[in-house]
Amino acid sequence: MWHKWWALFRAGWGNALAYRAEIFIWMLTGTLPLVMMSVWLSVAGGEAVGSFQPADFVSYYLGGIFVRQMVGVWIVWDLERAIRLGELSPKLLRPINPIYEYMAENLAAKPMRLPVLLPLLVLGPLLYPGAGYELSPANVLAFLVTLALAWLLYFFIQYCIGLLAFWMSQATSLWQAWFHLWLVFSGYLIPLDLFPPLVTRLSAWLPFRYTFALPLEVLMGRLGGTVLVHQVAIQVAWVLFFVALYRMLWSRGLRRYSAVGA
Amino acid sequence: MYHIEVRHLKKYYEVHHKAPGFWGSLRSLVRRETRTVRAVDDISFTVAPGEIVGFLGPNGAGKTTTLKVLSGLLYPTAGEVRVLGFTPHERQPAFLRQITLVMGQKQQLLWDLPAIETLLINKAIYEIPDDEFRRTLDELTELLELGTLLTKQVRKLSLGERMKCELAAALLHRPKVLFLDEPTIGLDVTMQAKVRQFIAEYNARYGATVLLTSHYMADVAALAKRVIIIDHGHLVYDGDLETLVQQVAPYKVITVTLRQSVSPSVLKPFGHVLAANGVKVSIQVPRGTTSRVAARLLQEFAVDDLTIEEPPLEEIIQHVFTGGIREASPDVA
Ligand SMILES: Nc1ncnc2c1ncn2[C@@H]1O[C@H](COP(=O)(O)OP(=O)(O)O)[C@@H](O)[C@H]1O
Ligand SMILES: [Mg+2]
Repeated sequence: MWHKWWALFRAGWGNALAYRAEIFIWMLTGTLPLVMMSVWLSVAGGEAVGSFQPADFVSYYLGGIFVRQMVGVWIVWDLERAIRLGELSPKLLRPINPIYEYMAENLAAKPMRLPVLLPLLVLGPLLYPGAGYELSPANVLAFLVTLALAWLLYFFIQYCIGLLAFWMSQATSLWQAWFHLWLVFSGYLIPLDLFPPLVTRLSAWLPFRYTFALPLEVLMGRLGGTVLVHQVAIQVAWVLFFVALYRMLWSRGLRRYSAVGA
Repeated sequence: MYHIEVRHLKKYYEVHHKAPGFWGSLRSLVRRETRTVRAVDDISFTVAPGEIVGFLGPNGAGKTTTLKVLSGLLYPTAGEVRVLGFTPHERQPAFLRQITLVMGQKQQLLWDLPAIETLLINKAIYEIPDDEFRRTLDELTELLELGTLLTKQVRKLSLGERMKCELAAALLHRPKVLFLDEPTIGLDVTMQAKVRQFIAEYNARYGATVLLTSHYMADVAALAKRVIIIDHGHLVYDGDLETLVQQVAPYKVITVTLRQSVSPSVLKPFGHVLAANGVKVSIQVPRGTTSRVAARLLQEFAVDDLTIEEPPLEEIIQHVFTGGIREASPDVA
C-alpha cells in the first residue's frame, strides 16, 4: 500500500505544480479572516471581548487561515463531474478505490501552500505583542492530531455530499448550502466562544467545529486536559460516522452509476 | 472453461426527462417522469480463452453498454455475467488486475503530465515488479513504436499518439482479457493498421482474449474469425465471419479488364453486371460458379487482368441489419 500512496502522491504533486499559479490565486480568496480580524480589533478597541483579548483575535484569525488551508478540500466539483460525465470510469477500472486517488491529490497539494502559510503563524506574534501559540511538544502533538482528524472529517463530509451526485443533479448546490452553515458553526467567521451560550453548546455537538475550531483552539492553548480528550472523542465519532456513511453511499451509488461516455 | 460467459444479460437505463422551462422543472420535482432505455435486452454468448471476437452492430445497438457491464463499470439489470470466473460488478482487485477496457477517447492518462507518470502510477497500483515493468515497457515501446512519446506532456500529443499511450497504459499490467471499444476511431489509416497489427500481436504473444467493437470493418476482418452482431440490444448473429459472408452474400465479384470494350449485353449471360466503364467490367456471380465463369471469360475475351473479390464487408453487415439474417443463421434462437 505504501508504494501506491507514494505513486499517487507523486502524481498529485506534479499536478499541483502544473497548477501552482491557480492554487496561489485561490489562496488569496481565503483572506476573509483578515477582514474579520480588523473588524474585531476595532470593535474591541483595546479591551477584551468575552474571553478574547485583542491579541487573541490576531492569533485566532491568522491561525484560522492556516487551519482552513490545511483542512480545505475542494473535490466536490471534481467528484460530481466525474459521476455525471462518466469520468469516474477509468478510476473504477483500476484495482484501487478511487477515494485514495482523491485523498492523495488533495494532500499532495498541501506542501505547496506552506511557504505562504507558515510565515503567517510567525508574523502575527512578531508584529502584535501578546499574540502567539502554545508550542509545548504535547500541545503541538495534540494540534497535529486534531488537525489531521479535522482534515479527514472535512474530506469525508465533502466526499459524501459529492457522492449524492449518483442520485441528484444538485450535489454541488447542497455543498454550497452546507458550506454556509459551516461558515457560522465552524468558528471560521466568529469564534464560537463569542456566540450566545446556547449556540456555543449546540455547535459542540455538530460536526462543523471539529473541522476547524478544535485544532485552532488547541493551537492557541485554549483547550486542555479532560475537555480536550472529550473533544477529540467527539471528533473521532464524527469521523467514524461519515466514514460509515461514505461506505454506504459508495456501494449503493455504484449500482446507479451509468458510466456515461463513449 | 470460458473467459467470458454472458447469460440472458439485460441492461436498462432509466432516463429522467423533464419538460423544458420553469413549470417543467417544477412538475418534475413532484413527479419524476422516467423512460426506460433497453440498451441490452437479453443476450447470451461465451468466449473461449485466446479468442478474438468482433462485436458489431449499428450505433446505439448496445455494444458499449455490454463492454461496460463486462468490465464491471455497470451493474446488470438482469442476467448473469462471468469474466475469468469473476462477477464483474463486484470489482474485486484480482479481477480488475486481469482485464482492461479501452475506449477511443480521453481516458486514464493524466492530462497535464507526461504519460510515463500514469504508467508509473499503474505500476504501483497493479503491483508490477520492476523487472517485469521494464520488460513490458520495452515490448510496448517496440510494438507501439512509442519512441519518446511517453516523456511528452499528454495534452501536447496528437490524437493518434495519445491513443498509443492510452493503449500502453491499459496494457501495462498484461491483462488476460481485453475489451476494446472503437480502439481505432479517429485515427488515420496507417495508424489504424498499426493498432490493428498490435492487437493481433498482443493476442498472439500473450494468448489474451479480445472482444472488439469497431466501425471499421477492416479492423474486424483483419482480427476476428468470429463475430457477434447485435441490434437494438438483441443478438442477431453469433458465429464465423466467413460463414456469415457466404450465407448473407452467396456471391463474389469478378472484375475484368478487357483489351477492348464490349457491350454490356454480351456479358449478361455471365452474371449480374454491376458496372461497365469502358474496358473495366464488374460482374456479380454466384459463389459456387466463380471459377467456371472466370475460366469462360478468359476463354471468350482478350483479358488483360482479372480479379475475384468478396463483396465489401460493410455491405454484408448492412444486409444483416436490414433483415437478411433470418435465412443466414439458423443457429441463432
Ligand atoms: N448512460 C446512459 N444513460 C442512458 N442511456 C444510455 C446511456 N448509455 C447509452 N445509452 C443508450 O443505450 C443504447 C445503447 O447505447 P450503446 O451501448 O452506447 O450502443 P453502441 O455502443 O452499440 O453504439 C442507446 O440507445 C443509448 O442512447
Ligand atoms: Mg459504442
